[in-house]
Amino acid sequence: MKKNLNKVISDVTIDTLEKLAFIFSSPDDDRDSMPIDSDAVIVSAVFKGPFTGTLFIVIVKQLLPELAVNMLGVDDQDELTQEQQIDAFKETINIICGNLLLEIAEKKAVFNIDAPQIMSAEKTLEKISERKPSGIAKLSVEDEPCDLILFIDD
Amino acid sequence: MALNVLIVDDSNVMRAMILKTMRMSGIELGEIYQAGNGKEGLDVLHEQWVDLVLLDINMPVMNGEEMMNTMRDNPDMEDIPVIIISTEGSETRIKRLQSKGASFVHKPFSPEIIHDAIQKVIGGIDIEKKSEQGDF
Repeated sequence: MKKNLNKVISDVTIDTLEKLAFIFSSPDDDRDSMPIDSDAVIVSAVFKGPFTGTLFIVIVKQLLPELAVNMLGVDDQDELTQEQQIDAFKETINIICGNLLLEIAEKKAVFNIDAPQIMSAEKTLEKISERKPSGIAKLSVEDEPCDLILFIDD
Repeated sequence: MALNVLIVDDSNVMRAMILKTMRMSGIELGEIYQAGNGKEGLDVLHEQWVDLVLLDINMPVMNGEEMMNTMRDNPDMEDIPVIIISTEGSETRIKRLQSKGASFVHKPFSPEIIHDAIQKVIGGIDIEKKSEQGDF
């Protein structure tokens, strides 16, 4: 596995958000991690292959409609349902996770990514407090915070 | 020639994104059919004339590879061009799909990439829009 995992997570996410949703983001390593509370929207993706693990993405609620509007190319966020906004967020982590595995694993490795799940703050806190993450990336996305937390199982 | 296209992906959002990108790519589109998994995709192919299938891999019920295997075993469907649109990164799996005649587009994708992939699998047929240019 390649070193400097935090930078790889950051680079893959920045590149994916730009290509997928025309959203520009940048590393924001100096700030504190985002609070995991009711204002956060959290999605997770479990991957299984030569190694297994889980990727979490935490964003503020305000980013959800912007992400979906840009991905679907609609003019007005009122055209989008809450379900579409959530689906867009799930598709985003699915693509980030796939591209991340492409960067950190052998090219011949076959992974399956489970359908992404929206997580409650309580469940997320429970999961992320169990052990130390393998990698964390803190980004600024359209001036809003966005954290990515990667766990790779032993 | 306007292409009749079947988009198979379990994500509504991704199907909408693929369609939006195809519309931006400058390709003349005919009927667009959508399916949420391989089984639904095969049902469409049994009932409609389709020139091109855009296919995800990881889907519930029947995945993209299983759908493609079924298509290749059916004389009525075996020659339909297939483009896999996926986050798949494994060389092993990509080569296996390419050996069955599929082209491969990695997510995320641009209108240019979609255009070039379709042009490649459709061959010498003129599929460009006549009345308006693509947006790129």
